[in-house]
Amino acid sequence: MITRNYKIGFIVLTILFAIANTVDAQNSAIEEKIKSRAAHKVGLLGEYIGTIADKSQGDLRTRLHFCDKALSLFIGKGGPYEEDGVERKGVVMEVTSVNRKNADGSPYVNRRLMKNYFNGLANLRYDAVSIETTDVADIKVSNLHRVADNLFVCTCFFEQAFTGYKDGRPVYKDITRKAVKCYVIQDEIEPELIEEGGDRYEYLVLLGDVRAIDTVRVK
Amino acid sequence: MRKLILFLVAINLQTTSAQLSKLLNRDQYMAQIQLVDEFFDRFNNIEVRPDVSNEITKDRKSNILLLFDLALFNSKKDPLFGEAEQFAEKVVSDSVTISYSDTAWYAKAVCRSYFMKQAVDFTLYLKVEERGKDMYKWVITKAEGNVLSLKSEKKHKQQMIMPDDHETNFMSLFRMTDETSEYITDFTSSRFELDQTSVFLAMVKMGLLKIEYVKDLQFFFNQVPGYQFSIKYVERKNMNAGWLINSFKKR
Repeated sequence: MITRNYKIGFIVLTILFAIANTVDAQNSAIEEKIKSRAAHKVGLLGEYIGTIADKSQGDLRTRLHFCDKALSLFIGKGGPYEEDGVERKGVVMEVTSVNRKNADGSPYVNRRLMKNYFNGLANLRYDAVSIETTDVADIKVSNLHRVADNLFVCTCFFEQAFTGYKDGRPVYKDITRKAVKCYVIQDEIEPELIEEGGDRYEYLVLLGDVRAIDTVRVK
Repeated sequence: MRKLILFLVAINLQTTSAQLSKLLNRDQYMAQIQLVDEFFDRFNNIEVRPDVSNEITKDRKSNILLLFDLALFNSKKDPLFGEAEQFAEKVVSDSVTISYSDTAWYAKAVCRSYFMKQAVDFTLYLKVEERGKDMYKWVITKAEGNVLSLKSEKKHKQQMIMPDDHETNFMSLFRMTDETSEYITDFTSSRFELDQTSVFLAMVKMGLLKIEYVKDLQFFFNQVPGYQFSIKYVERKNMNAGWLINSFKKR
């Protein structure tokens, strides 16, 4: 009798263990899917930055259109937004320069609203620019943290190399590293729309504040 | 011996020429530790430095040593390198892992702020706190800095509530706040201990202190038995950069 109970207990434990493993594997797959989606969104941002800055990509009006497209990647579309009842002014780009210092020797830090940053980018003094961005597959994504039932956050990290040209010659080069806050909103899919074996949720990624970690002048 | 030579070659790699035509150096980018989560993964041996050969990275001790800011050591003969090896051996022998949700790590953020139009720096200590199932947040555990000590730079001898002030209904208290507010801490008992964290909260609440940016950031870890170590973002154009161990000491 005791042996039989042991056997049943062992089978139940094995089943529970298998279920737990399956759930873990599913969660891990979902997390990877979300991270990949966040990296893709950040990759798009990198592409837009390149287009906005490069005068050879079109006139100012065309490139300002890309500013709007880039802003649509962000929470509040770059404008004011509300977070848990608190009015936020809009997402910002914080630029910390390694080479440029304040008078007291502290690092120079400049913070601008994203829309102002993009406008500045569209009006650079170079004839043309080229921007090289980390491949989407190489964008580093932090762990996903749940902050509410349907909301997660994570941070994406990538590098961008900038070259500014005048009269066809490169006159300025730098490398900037950017860390982008990502908000991942989980939405339940209507049961009839779920594909067989598919996820019952869809995930919308919106970008938040960006920190440009340093700017290394390349000679 | 071969292993040691391979290791030293690996840690001395300065740059690679994998992408000479491009400004971005992918090998360098992948080797550097850009996210704190990435540091966790490398420390826990979940991820290894991709540019280093398997022969080295199969040894966890080597992987731990690769997490150090190598500028700490003059050479492999540096006694501090020997201590770092002991640290790494302890991590391996005790199978130490670190996790985001641990209570044994904290952040130390030096903040640049402006108080009365003057640039001031103070330090905030933060740690991770659980706020529900699988949900966490960073919380302030302590604030400290000269601006929060409320000490006056000017010295005086007789700014006090006079011994007979009880006879005048303590009417001089108005002078304390009007004329001698700068010396306010001198009016308290000698046994009074000022709580700088409360001062920080009050100043922020009153709009007197606004943080401009974080000037310096370090994370301290106490998970390795007998040791405390810290990591800091190291800016350098080689493989040994990003979040690296910048200090360690025996407790």
